[in-house]
Amino acid sequence: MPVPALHGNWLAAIDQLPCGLVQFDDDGRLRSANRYLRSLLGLEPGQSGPDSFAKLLNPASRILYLTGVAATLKLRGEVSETYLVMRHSDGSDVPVLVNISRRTQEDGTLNTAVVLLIRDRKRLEDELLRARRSAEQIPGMVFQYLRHADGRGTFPYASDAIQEWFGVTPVQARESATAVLACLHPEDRDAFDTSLAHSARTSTRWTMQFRVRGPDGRERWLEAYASPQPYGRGAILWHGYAGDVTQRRALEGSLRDKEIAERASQAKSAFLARASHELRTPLNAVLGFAQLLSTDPDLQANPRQQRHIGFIEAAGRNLLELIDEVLDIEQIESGTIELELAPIDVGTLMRESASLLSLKAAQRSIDLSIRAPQTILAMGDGTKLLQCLNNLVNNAIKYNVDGGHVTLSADADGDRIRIEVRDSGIGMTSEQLEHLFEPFNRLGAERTRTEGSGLGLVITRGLVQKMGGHLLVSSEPGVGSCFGISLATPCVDQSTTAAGASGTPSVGSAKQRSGIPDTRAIRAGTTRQRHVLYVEDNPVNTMLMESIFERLPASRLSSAETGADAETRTLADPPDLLLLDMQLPDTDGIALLARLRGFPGMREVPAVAVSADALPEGIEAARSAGFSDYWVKPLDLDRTLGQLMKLLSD
Amino acid sequence: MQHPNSAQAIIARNNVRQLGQGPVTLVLAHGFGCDQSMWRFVAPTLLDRYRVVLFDYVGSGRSLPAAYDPRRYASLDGYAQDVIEICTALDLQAPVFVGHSASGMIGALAAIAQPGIFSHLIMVGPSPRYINDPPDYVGGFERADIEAMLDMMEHNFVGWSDAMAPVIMGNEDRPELSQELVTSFCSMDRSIARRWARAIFLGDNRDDLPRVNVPTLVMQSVDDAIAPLSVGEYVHARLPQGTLHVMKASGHCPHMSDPDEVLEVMGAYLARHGL
Repeated sequence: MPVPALHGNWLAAIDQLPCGLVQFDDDGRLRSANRYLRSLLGLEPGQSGPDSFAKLLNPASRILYLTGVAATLKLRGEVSETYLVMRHSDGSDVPVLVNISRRTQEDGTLNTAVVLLIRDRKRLEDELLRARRSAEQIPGMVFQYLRHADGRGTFPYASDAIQEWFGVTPVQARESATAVLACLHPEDRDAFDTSLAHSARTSTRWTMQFRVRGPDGRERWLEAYASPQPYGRGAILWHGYAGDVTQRRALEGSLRDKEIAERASQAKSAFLARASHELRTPLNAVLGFAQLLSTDPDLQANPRQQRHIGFIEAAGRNLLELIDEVLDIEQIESGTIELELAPIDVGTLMRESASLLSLKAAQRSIDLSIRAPQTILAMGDGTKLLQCLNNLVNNAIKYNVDGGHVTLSADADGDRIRIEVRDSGIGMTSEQLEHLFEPFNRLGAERTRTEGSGLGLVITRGLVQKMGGHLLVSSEPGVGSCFGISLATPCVDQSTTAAGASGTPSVGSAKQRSGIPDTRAIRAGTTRQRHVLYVEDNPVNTMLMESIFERLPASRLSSAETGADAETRTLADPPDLLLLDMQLPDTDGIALLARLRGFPGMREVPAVAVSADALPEGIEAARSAGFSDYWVKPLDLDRTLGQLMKLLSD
Repeated sequence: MQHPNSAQAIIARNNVRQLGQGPVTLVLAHGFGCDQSMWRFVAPTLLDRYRVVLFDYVGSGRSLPAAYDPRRYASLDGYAQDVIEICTALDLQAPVFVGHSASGMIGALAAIAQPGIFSHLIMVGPSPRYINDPPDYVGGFERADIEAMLDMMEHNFVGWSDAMAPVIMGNEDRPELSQELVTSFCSMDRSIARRWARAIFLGDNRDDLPRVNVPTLVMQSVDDAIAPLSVGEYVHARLPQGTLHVMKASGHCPHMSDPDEVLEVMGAYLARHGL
C-alpha cells in the first residue's frame, strides 16, 4: 500500500512535532519557531526575545555559525548534522543537532532549520573528544592502518603527527596511504613490506624501526608497533603507535661507538702487553750474552770485539728502553697505572737523579748543580717521580751544549712545591713547543746524532698529572729550556716520608751498573754448595743462566723445562733457591710454587719469579703468591749476580 | 624538484587564481571558516573594472595542506608572509587588498612587514582582538567562549567541512565563470582549522593598527555578532589613515548577504581614490 500524501491541518501538526523547527531569512532574522523549540529555549509568546538565528546560539556557536555555517548554507543551499549549542532564556546551554535548508521563493529566501536535542550524544562526543585530544597529545602518532584485499592501504585514523612527519593530513591519509608510504626511505621499503606481510600472515604484532623523510626534508627514525586484526573480506586492520626514535638511536649509536672504542683500547692494551713480553724474551738472550761476553777474560785483549759487543749491548738497551716507554704510555693512557702517593723528600730524589747522570754530564763537561732546602716534601710516588726527574735531567744533558749548565732546584710555591730542571742548551722555538708532547715527535732531533724515542716527555707529563701535578715548560732558542714540575705539599699529619725510590721491583732496565760484584765472598763464606733450581722452557734463557752461575762457584744450578720435571727434581734433590719462569708449557709459576711448597722441606725455600711479563698486575700477583722477588727479563747481568749472591749468602 | 619558494609553488600552495583585466588589481582574501568561494557574489561584478586575484589560505579550500607548517602559521604573521609571497609571485604592483574578517588584520600585518606592498587596504568586519579586555576594550567574547568554540569545531568537522566534496557551481549570470569559480564550499582541514582558529581568536593585534601606513577602508556591518560596531570604531580610531563606513547590511558576511551594498561602498571608495 502506498504511503498516503500529506493532508489535513499541517500547521497544527508541525507545532506538535517532537523536534524544533525554526525559519529565518538570509539576514538571519527570525520568522517563526514551533512550540517545541520555544519550549526548549524557554521563549514565552508575547515576550521580547532574540530576533535573529545567531542570537539563539551561545557565543561559541555564534562564532562557528557566522564564520562558517552561514556561508556554507548560502553557497550550498543546505547544511546537515551541524552540532551547535543554543542558549536557554535562563542562560543555560542546550546542545542541539541542526539541519538547515535554504529555499528561494517568490517572497524572498527562507531558511528552515530542524533542531534535535542531543544531550546524550553530546556526552558521548565529549568522551570521544577527550580520547582524541589525548591521542593527539601523545608524543608520537596513534594510527589505524587498513590494508584492503587488493593491497591498497588507508589510515582510517591517524593523529596529527602524521602531518608533521609525512606532510599528509589525517583526512588525506584516510583516503590513501600512498603519500605516507612514499616518505619511507627506499632502503627500508622492502623490509617494511616484508615485516608487515609477516605480521598479517601470522597475526603477530608488527614492530619495526625505519627511516622517513618528511616535507621538512628531515630524516627521522620511527619505531612502530601495531597489532593486526582481520577486518573481513581479506582486509586487515592494524592498531598502532609510532614514535620518533631519532635521538635515541643517535645516543645508542654513540654508546656503540664508545663500546667499540673501549674494546679496541682493550685489544691494544692486550697487544702491547703481549708484544712487550715477546720482545723481552729474545732481548734477554741478546743483552745477557752481550754482558757475559763483555766481561769474558778471553776477549779482554781484543778491543775491537769489545767495542762491537758494546754496540750490541747499547742497541739492546735502547730497544728495551723503548719497550718500557711504550708500556708506560699505554698504562698512563688506559689508566691502569697505579701510583702510591705519599709524602716524599724531593731533595733526596734530586740528588739521586743527579748522581745517576753525573757521569753522562761529565763526559760533555756539563756542570750539574742542585739548589734545594735540606728537606722539602711533596706528595708523589717516589719511583715515578725519580723516573720523571731522570728523564728531564737526561734531556737537559742531551740537548745541551758541551760545557753547559744544568740546574735542579726545588722551592715552595704557595701550597705547592715547584721542581725545576733548567739547562743552558739549544732551546726550542714556539712552534717546536706546540708539538712537544706528541708521541714519537722529536722536533727535528731525529736528524741529529742525539738518541731518543720522543716518548720521554709524554710519559713524564702523564706521570706528573697522575700525581696530581702539572708539567710546565718555558724555552728560548739558543738560551735554554726550563721544565717545571708542580706538586702538592703533603698535609701536616702525613709526617712519615718514603725514602726516595726504595722498595721498587728490580726491573732489568735499571740503568745503574754497580760494577762486577765480588763473587769470592760466597766462595769464602759458605762450606756447602747451594743448589738452585731454575725452571724455564726456553733453552737459550737456561744457557744464559748457566753462564751466570759459572761465576758463582759456590752454587750449582740445575734446570727443568716443565712443571712436572721440576717436581721430580725437587723430590730427588731439594733446592735451596727456586727461580721460576711464570709461563711454562704445562703450568704457570704461581701454581707450580704452590705445589712445590707442599714438598718436604720446601715451605721456607726462597723463590724468585723470572718473567718477561713487566705489567704491574703480574708482578703483584706473583708477590702475593709468595715469591720473594720478581726479576723482569731481560736480566741485567751485574744486578742479577748481586741479587743471587745476596740470596745465596742468607 | 620544484623550489618551495618558486612562483609556481606558491600559486599551487595557495590555489591562487587571477581573473579579468584592468589597470588596478584587487586581492580578495577570505576569512576564517571559509575559502575563496565566499567572494563569488561580488567577484563577477568586480571583474568589469578590475583584475581580481583570489586564493585560499593553507588549510582552506583547495590549498595544499602539506605546506602547513605549525611554526610558521602559529600566528597571523605566517599568513601575512603568504600574502606577501603571493603578491611577489604574481609580480603585483601595489594592489588593493580586500580582507574579510581575520584577513583584515592579515592584510594590515603584510602592509607593516613590507611597506608599499598595497596601495589601499579594505577591511570587511575586522577585529584586532576577539576577547574582551576590561575595562576599556570590548571584543565581544570571553576566553571560555573561544575555548568552547574550538571544542565545537572538532565535534563538527566530521559531518561538516571535511565531508564536502568540491563541486563546480553554476553561475547563471556569468556562465563563462563557471569553470573559474570552482568552489569547495568552505572546506577546511580539521587539524589546521583548529590551530588557525587559535591564532585568530586568541591573538591580539591591537598595537599593530597604528603602524599601518596605508589608506584603509573599514567596512562595518550595523549588526555583526563577531565584530561588533564598537570594534569597528576602535579599529578606525587607531588606524592613521582609516575611513569607517557603517553599512546597512547586517551579519558578519555582508559580501555574501548584501553583495550589492558591499560593491557600492567599495566602488565609491576606490573611485574617490582614483582607482
